[in-house]
Amino acid sequence: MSIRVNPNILPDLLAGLNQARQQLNQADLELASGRSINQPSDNPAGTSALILNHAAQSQTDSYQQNVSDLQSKLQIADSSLNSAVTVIDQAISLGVEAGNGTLSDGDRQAIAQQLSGIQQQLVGIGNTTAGGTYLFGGTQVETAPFTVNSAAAAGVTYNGNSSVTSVQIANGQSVNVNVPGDQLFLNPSGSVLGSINQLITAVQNNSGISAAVTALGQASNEFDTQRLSYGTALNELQTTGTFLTNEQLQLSTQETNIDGADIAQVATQFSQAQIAYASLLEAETKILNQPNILSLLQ
Amino acid sequence: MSLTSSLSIAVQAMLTDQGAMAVVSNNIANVNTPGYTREVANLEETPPVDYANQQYGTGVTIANIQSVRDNVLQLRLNQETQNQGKLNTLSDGLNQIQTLFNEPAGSGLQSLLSQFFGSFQQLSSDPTNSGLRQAVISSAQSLAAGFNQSASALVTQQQDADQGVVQTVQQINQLTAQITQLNDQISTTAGAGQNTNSFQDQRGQLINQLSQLVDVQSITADGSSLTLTTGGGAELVVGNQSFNLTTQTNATTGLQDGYSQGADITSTIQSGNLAGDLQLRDQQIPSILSNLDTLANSIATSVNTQNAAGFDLNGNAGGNIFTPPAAVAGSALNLSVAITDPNKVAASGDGTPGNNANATALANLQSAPIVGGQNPIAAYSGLVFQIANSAATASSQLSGENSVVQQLQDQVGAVFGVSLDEEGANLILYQNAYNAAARVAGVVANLFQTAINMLPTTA
Repeated sequence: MSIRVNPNILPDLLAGLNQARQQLNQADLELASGRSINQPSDNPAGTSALILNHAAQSQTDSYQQNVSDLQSKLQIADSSLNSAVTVIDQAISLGVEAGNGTLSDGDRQAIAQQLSGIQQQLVGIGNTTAGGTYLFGGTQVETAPFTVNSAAAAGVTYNGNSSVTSVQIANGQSVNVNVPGDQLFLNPSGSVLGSINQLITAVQNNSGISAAVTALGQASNEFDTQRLSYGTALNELQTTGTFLTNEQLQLSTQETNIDGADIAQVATQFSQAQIAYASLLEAETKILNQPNILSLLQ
Repeated sequence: MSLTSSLSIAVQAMLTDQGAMAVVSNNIANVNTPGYTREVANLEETPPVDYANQQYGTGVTIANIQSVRDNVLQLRLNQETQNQGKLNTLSDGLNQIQTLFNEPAGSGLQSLLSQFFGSFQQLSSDPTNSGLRQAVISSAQSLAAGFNQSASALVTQQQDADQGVVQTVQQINQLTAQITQLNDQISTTAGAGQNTNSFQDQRGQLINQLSQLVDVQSITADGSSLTLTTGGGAELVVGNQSFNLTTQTNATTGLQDGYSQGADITSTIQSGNLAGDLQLRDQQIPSILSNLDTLANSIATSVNTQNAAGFDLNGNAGGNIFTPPAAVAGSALNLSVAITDPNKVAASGDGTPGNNANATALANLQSAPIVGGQNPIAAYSGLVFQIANSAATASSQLSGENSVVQQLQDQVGAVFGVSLDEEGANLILYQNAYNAAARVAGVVANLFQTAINMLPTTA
């Protein structure tokens, strides 16, 4: 007896067609999405790696957002401190002018008044806000750091604190984003506001002007030293910003390595699957239309 | 020997060939009938007669009409069908579950987790900013909603699987009742000495259907009476008696347990759709849910603890951000945000409004080992890996099982199936035999005429 084969070939034919169709669909899906992983089971380990990658990208986004927010805030702080330098220089010039023995009392009173104006300007600068918060009050960002108080030695009261805020801008990297106002304007090694207040008194009384001018000069130097922190922080932000952009690029390259479809390869697979499907369909139609003995009987 | 006996042999042959052609015709008619087993007309010689010291053959008859079966092959097909049934259900269920965590397509909890922790990160750059504070609250709400939805979808899947158990048990009972009926018909018909082929075909077909639903073992006692049990030995059909499976609500789980004659057989079901649903319901989904609960619980607890360590914008000690979960179980389903006032986010480490130390600490929970020694993102990616891997494994096992079943079906078809070529050839064979026998009958008729013509014609 000859070996029988399954005379009902339809299930096999359909299974073959189904498989070809699946390959076609898979290639189509990868082409359409550009990704080789379209559902977790396509690549469990890859999916897991994708999650970590997406989380890292998202965190880098947050850091980048922080960097750009801080940059604009620190630029405001830096430029207001720059204008303070101009104002302090004016005060020194005025002090030198007041020291000139040929001036009348009236002239000195006028200078003293100008100096008071400068004092107010500096207080205004000390109370600079950005986005509704005071920049130079340490972490007391909701209270104006400086209020004029003629009874105080420096002519002002400092309402802030001496806290420095540090913000994380990359994994394991932080930047100090403020110099407290007392450190800037009332520094024990040279107090800008204190010296100006002294200078005003000296000019008013026409005594000790030159010493007061010298003290203001020292305070101005100290102020320059202190405000350097902002420049340093801005540089650091710039560098970190570039680093984060690079990291973002690397992460997105890594993402493509994990789940990017090789388009050329998938396109080839697609054409192959298409051809396979079409030829299978043609062949199977022929097989199904094969005559058998019965169709030869008359 | 007489001409009469020749005539009767020829006529008998014609009848036999007609019968054989009827078998061929029936085969051809059933070429596409599911479960139909091709039949063969087995011909045999009729007993010879002695005449004048010689033995003469008396012709041909149909001894029986036999269905061409291979019970061993059928049994193997049924066993593989059981595995296929289980993997089908399992793979379907896991595929649905993995769409809840379809991270490659951008849906799932990762982006919500990242946004939540990122919102603290951004708040640390400007701790008094009300927009950034609001963002913490809204991203916490989105995260809680994400956990709620995933958990609730998983619970729905579990209930679907539970419903599947009940429906499958009903289908099993229907099939066993039908099989019992056929058992009865087969024994009655066989007792009357009649052909049981078509009943056996139907019964085989039903047992194959039953195999998709549950692990079924068959014992044929005496060729016609059949006993069916589950793999664990619970009786389904014994001869003309069927034993219904029942379902009962488990008081602890609220899910349906399977019972047979008063005994809980839930844990003994090994294959078929029923086992697939049970595995989804009792193992896969609870394990995923439990991991999701642990994740939600750890995040809620750690974030609450860290927030309590800081100070809110009003300078008060921080409180809970999430409503503290009552227990680990149910944490994901019930996670909710306890506060609506953005000022309650304790960004400050020392009570001054511009301090960001606690916001940074909250943001850093993202990379802290707060979920069973892992950070939340790593724990979540582990969970998705588990789901993806189960789905991939079930799917590849299923496609392997599908080819095994397909091969067996080919083998079964090779034995059982009707070949039109073969039937055509048989038809020609029997047609020729019939023609020849008819010719013999014609010749004998002529001989009768010759003999009759020998008689003198009467006037």
